Amino acid sequence: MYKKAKYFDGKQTKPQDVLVSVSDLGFTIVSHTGSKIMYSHEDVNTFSQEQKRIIIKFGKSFPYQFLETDDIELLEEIKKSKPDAKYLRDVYLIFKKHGAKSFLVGTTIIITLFIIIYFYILPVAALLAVEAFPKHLEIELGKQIKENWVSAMKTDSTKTEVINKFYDELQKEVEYPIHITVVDEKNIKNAFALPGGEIVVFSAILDSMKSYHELTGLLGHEIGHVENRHTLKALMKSLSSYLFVSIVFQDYSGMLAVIAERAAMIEQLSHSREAESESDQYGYELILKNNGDPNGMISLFENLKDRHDSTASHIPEFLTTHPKLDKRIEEIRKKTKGKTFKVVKNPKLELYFQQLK
Amino acid sequence: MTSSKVDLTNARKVFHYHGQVKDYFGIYIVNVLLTIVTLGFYYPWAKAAIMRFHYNNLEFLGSRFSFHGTGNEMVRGMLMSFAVIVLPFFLINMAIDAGYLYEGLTIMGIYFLSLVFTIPLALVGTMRYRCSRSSWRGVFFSNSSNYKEILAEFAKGIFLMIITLGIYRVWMQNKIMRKLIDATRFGNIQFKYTAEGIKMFELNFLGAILVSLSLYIYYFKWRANIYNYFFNNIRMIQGEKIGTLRANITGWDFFKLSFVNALIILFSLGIATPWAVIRRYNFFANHVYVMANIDFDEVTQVDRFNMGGSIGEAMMDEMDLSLLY
Repeated sequence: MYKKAKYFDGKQTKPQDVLVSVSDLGFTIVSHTGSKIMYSHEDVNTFSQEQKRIIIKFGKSFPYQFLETDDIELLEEIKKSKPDAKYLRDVYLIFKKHGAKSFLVGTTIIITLFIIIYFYILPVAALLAVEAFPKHLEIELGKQIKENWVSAMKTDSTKTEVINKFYDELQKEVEYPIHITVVDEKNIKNAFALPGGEIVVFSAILDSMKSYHELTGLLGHEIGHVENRHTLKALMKSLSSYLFVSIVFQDYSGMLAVIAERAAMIEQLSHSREAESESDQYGYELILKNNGDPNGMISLFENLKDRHDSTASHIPEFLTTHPKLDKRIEEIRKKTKGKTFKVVKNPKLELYFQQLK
Repeated sequence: MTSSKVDLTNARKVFHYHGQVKDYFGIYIVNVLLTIVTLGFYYPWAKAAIMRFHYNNLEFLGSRFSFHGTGNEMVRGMLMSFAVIVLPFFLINMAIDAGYLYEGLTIMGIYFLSLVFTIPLALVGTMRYRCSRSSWRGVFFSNSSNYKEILAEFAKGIFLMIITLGIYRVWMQNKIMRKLIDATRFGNIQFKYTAEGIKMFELNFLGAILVSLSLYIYYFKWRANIYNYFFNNIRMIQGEKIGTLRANITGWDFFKLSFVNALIILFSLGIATPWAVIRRYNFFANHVYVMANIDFDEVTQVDRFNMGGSIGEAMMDEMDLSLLY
């Protein structure tokens, strides 16, 4: 079947009225004078169809020849005679064929993809990044953040010295170089860990403790965060989502701003429930290793339940809200249930603990 | 007033834009999807698909335009310009973070200064690339603008801008635009830009005053005047024959276009952007006419030259520049 078309020879804009037919061999173009031009399917450079117009570009190099037609049935004929034509392979054609339906499907796929990447792939990628993150850099990073952070706070150098002695006295196996700083702050009953071994303890939490087992539990909990690289993980997770968004939207300059901003807000990161319970376990084991009383962990949580640190809303929640605390107490109770523990008092730890009060 | 009434009696409506919102949505969705999946690397192919769509839907005297640029071509330009523009920025930042504060900041200053001088490169590159990849009825456009010339104009412009506290900017833009358009050909048709700096300045100066006096209501009229003056000063010369573009956009026309587009984008949270884009293409196709005694069946192909790479195109993207006013 011949279709009406306009042919352009690549020399001049003058259109030639022609008739075109397709077979498995290619295109036959017949001009009104009767002369014939043949093109094979391999001669087709590009095929495009937009709004009732088909344009075929022939030739491998300049100048090219063009065929333009309003008879869009030509496409069906090409598909019939050469279904595997390379030039018909186009991701966009799938969408063109289905119109509104493809819009809905496409939008759904985009949103699903976003959700999958954002909630499932990115966290995994972030963890891989944490694994690849060199330890010495992590330690360096923690030190830098601590310096910046502590410089704005009032530290207690005597208590800092004593608490580090307390830590040295503990029986433990720790990979990171732990260093503890006591900040003189009567209103914040809290503590937090930075990447690489820096731990910050507020004096209010020390004041409220009844036994050194509580302190062992608290330090154990924070060391748990350090050893499991929880802070770095939380940082990477929050960073990766921003990175993803800026890469997709090609916003490289925004990315830099975000990195800077995130690094400054590191102490505001909160840990996941899994991370908290992992660290609780660490604290619990540290008490046992030192022949202490695991109930110290429970009294630490009980002690924290009655805190009312409204001023501390910008501080990371070492132990978050009360219902969660109840759950964590429950977890420790399950572990201690039906067991008896031989508590051996360590006079040195007791002495340091009293000095911290 | 600032714009004189344009006589459209001899002008013909020759442009028709056929792009449909639903088709454009299809391309937009595929682009967004593949860009996410490839973490942004699909961008050049996405851009090529969009260009092809708009060209193939734009009709002039019964025939559509064709865009011949490909994603493969543009990815090279993107990587090159990434190496030239984005990478140094990261490296300098890393050096600053590593403690080379003063050295780093000095180099950063030099970097930003030299960035200004890549703007002419981006402009020339884009014009050459776009023209050499555009055709109508099998005949190609071409652009022979010269980087050194544009750079000289640009450097002179920056200097005079500093002296005149920015007033010279309009002249500089106009001169660069003239050089870019005068270097453009379509087959044996030569384009010529005849707008004058002083007239552009008048339009902008009066515009700025009236826009602030009218609490931005005049803004649309002002933009329309600039567009009209720009289009009405693009000439086509083919031997003895001559033609010109004609536009008579009113402030109300431009208000309808830009205000409704802003609403569309705002209320759809950006999802309906393709609709706004189609409206924009329709607007210009419907408002730009041609008045000419040129026979557009008689345009002959000339040798294709200045097949510029796509680095300029990518630079324009990275620096967020655009060719039109």
